Amino acid sequence: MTPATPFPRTLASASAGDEHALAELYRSLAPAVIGYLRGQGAAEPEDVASEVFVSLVRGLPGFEGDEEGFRAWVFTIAHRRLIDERRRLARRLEDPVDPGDLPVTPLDVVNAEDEALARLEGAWMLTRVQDLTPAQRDVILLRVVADLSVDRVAAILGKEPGAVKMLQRRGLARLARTIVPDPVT
Amino acid sequence: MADPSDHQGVNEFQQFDWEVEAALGGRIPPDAGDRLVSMATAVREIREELLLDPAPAVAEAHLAAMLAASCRRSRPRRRVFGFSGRAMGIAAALVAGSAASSVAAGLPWVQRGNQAEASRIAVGGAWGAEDLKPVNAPVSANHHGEEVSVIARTTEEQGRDKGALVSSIARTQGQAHQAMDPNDVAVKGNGKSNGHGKALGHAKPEGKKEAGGKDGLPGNPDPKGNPDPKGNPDPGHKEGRGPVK
Repeated sequence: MTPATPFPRTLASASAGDEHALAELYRSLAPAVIGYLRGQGAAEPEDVASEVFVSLVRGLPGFEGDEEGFRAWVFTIAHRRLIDERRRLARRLEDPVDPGDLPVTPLDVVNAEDEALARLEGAWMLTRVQDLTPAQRDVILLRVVADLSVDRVAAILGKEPGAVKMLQRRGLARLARTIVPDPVT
Repeated sequence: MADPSDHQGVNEFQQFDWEVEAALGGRIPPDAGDRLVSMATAVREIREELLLDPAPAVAEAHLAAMLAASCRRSRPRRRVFGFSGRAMGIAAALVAGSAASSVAAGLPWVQRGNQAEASRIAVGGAWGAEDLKPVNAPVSANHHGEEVSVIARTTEEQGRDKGALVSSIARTQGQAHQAMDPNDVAVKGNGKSNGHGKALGHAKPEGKKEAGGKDGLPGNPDPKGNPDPKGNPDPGHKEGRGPVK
């Protein structure tokens, strides 16, 4: 939210259907929501994000809380919609794929050449994130992309804060190990 | 990687947590160890790759969906607080019209101009003050038919889209008329409603449904800012299917 339009006023206006307030909420949340869904490997992140924002609008009149609580609430919706999407896709899967036929990801061989190619494709770190365990990925994305506190992430995922801290330690340490230091010339 | 002996007297986990918070906050001291620098680099790269503004067409489609949802959400409230079925019918027609336009243009990623126009209609047209009447104004079945007829004759939609639009308007008008009719079972709330009869406060409000989600999995988030994943209602999910008491 910009200082000129404090969050409570924006929220109240958006709740009343004000177009500009809704647009402001959208602008403040869309990059993170879509980025979170993309990081989670959603098949159609923009479609899922659309569901998230429609749910947000429907729930606005009942929301009570501050800006951080609002952000946490939105990402709770996003997390639930992501689970819904995965269920839908799982039900549609009809043709099993031999794992041997799957394409090899760049992470299978981490060397300077592969890293350079992946970086050129603009998805180097996204691939690293998707290689984390699901629990680590949930935590890392909610902490890094959604910018939520440990306690909020714990509430969204139904875990204890200590467990979230452990997952973020392991996840970030694993990501940090994939960072190839710049070559010394 | 930093040597644990570098942090003698300090709990390694606490040190690690401090480094995580520093990496997330982008606060890297000049003498930071390799681990912190690598974590900060990972955090920065994740944000650079994922925190991107949506494409304009995507943003417009999302905003149009939000505005349409906002208008839909407003309809039951008007019924309770004093606006006529006619106003709701016109609003629904406009929203349905914009939705049909979007479908015709190839949802979900419609042409920018068409979507902007649909948004304008959905917002600007649906809230015209001249459409609002007191709740005690008579709702005429003749008006119902007239409005459907006028829209059916004047809409630019064709074929299936036109049929869907007219059907949507007729259905909305019919529901509004039923809601205003004291003999209607949905208004009486005798428990025999098919789930659409949530008029006049007899149904649970949106976002207040029972805890717990489908398939035995956690329900949806709490709209009161406490994102408890264990059974709070989803705001407006499956709108209109709440149990009628």
